[in-house]
Amino acid sequence: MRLSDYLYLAKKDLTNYRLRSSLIILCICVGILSSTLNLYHTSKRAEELISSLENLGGQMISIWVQDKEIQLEDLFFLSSYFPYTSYEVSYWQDIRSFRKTKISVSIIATVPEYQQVHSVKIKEGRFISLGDINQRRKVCVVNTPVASGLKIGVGKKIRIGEDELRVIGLSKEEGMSKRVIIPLSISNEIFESDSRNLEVVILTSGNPKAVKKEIERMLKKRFSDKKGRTRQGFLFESEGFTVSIAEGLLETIKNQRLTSKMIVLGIWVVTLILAGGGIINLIMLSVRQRYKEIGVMRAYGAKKEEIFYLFLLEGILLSVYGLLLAGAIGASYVGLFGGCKFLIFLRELLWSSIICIGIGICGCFPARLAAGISPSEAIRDAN
Amino acid sequence: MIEMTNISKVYQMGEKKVEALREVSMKIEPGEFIAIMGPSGSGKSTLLAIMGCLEIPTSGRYLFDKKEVSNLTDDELSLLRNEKIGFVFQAFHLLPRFSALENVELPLIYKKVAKDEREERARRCLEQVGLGDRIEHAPSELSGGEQQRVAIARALVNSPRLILADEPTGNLDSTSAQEVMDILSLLNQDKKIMIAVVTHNPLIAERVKKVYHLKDGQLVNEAK
Ligand SMILES: Nc1ncnc2c1ncn2[C@@H]1O[C@H](COP(=O)(O)OP(=O)(O)O)[C@@H](O)[C@H]1O
Ligand SMILES: [Mg+2]
Repeated sequence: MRLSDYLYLAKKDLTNYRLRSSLIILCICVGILSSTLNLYHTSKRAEELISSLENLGGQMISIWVQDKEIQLEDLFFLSSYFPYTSYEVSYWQDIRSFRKTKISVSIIATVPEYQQVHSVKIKEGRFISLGDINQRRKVCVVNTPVASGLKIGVGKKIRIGEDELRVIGLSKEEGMSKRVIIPLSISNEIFESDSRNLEVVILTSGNPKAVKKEIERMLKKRFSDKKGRTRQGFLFESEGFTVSIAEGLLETIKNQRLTSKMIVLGIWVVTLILAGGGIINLIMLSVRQRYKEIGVMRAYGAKKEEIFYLFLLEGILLSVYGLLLAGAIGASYVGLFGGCKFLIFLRELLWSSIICIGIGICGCFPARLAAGISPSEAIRDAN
Repeated sequence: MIEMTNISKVYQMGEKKVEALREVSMKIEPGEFIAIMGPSGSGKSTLLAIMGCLEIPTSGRYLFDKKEVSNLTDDELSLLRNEKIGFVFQAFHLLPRFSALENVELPLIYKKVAKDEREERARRCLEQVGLGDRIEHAPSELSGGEQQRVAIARALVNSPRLILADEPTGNLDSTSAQEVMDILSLLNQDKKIMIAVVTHNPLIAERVKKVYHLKDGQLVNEAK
């Protein structure tokens, strides 16, 4: 039998069960579509995050300063080696708005590079500038949870202890943690206790392990005179630093991809059960109703395998129709609202079409049943 | 030429064995037209199924054009049926979703004949059975006699050596039955196709040269 004739016969049969066929196509379409769009969105987000990371250099390496005698200023030399270096002093404290609302936040005193290193997106206003640092301006950038917690916005003032700080920017940030960013140069005036946390974060495009080694070597050389406070654990040699490769962002991306994959796996299973079951049911029905017909086809020279492939093709056709429909709907969605990343869409659609293989396998059972029908069925009629 | 020697067919029904045919021997010469008669359950359809290579006998020798049928694989049997045998059934067994023309084309599909040639040959066969003006009709739009003629056209389309008809007039009124028998006789005379017809109708049996009688799976006598 020619391929075109397989198609011709299979289509003829499917149109005979129009309603059922349409339902199965719809089911496959919904399954593929939801799987594709789910994968598409996480992939797109991940791609954007990764590309923004790559644009800036790649991996974050953080240096924790544990030695109380070492100041951040002692580490400023790192900037001449690494352009994207952020110096951060962080501290937990209560802040207030003028309406006396009080919330507990983490305050980070830092430099303008913080924005690039941590890829902070500014929703409104601006980030801390070099001018703010030099002029020791009492300004701050708050994130969304803080802004909504205090019911304030850009231009308003907040109170930290006795000091008043003007809000110059509103940053868009993930998560629930409340964060206020202030210029590094005013940290001594603002912070009350010295149980604070010193950290230097470097964004680097180099091999993170090699860069980490390099930093450790530099620190050792510089502070080699400060010896003798060896503690077990994370401390690197005898110096008061912990250098680590920050996994933050990449880890988040990986986690998101994992959850997305789990969801998609669930969608696949449900689709397979519904559509696969539907296809088995539909073709089974068609085989039962056509016992005689299949016998006649066999009597007229159809080979076993030709009957098998014919019925298998019916299942495959349904999945292909479902796939095409999902592709069309998905592509128009991506084009209109989804950011037009058609290559990613195509890739995820391809992944999702794995469902079709599963459904095709489901079609094997009734197809085998059909192929097993004896040609003498044609002559054994109920007369 | 067809030669059957001591053909038996036993069906296993769970514990029970049904002997549908016992030691049947017969010969159909090229161009011969025979009839098979007998009461219901006597094994007529079984005999036709074995002749038509739809089933393999339990024992005995069956030579079709000097080839031993029981040595052929399932695919080879399909090919043999496709190229050399045409079937006509009591219940017509036309595919309901297909037009008359498409029904007649069916055997050619399995022979991988291209669409154009298929249509051409199917149309010619339909004209031969007097249905040249009905080619686009669905089976449900045709009378019983017309449907059976479409079935004959389908049996004819691959120029077979043998046409087997299992009670082809059983569902037809006498006029249509006459027409169908006329067409079969004509095919036998013009194209020298071997024809075997199972029938209950003695009038029809009278028209053929040789009548075999079956009873309880055995050939009783060879009349005429
Ligand atoms: N597939 C089968 N399985 C079991 N018994 C069968 C089968 N086909 C036919 N038979 C039995 O074989 C006998 C002959 O049947 P059949 O050839 O159809 O007779 P006829 O066509 O003369 O009425 C009957 O007793 C029937 O019940
Ligand atoms: Mg019978």
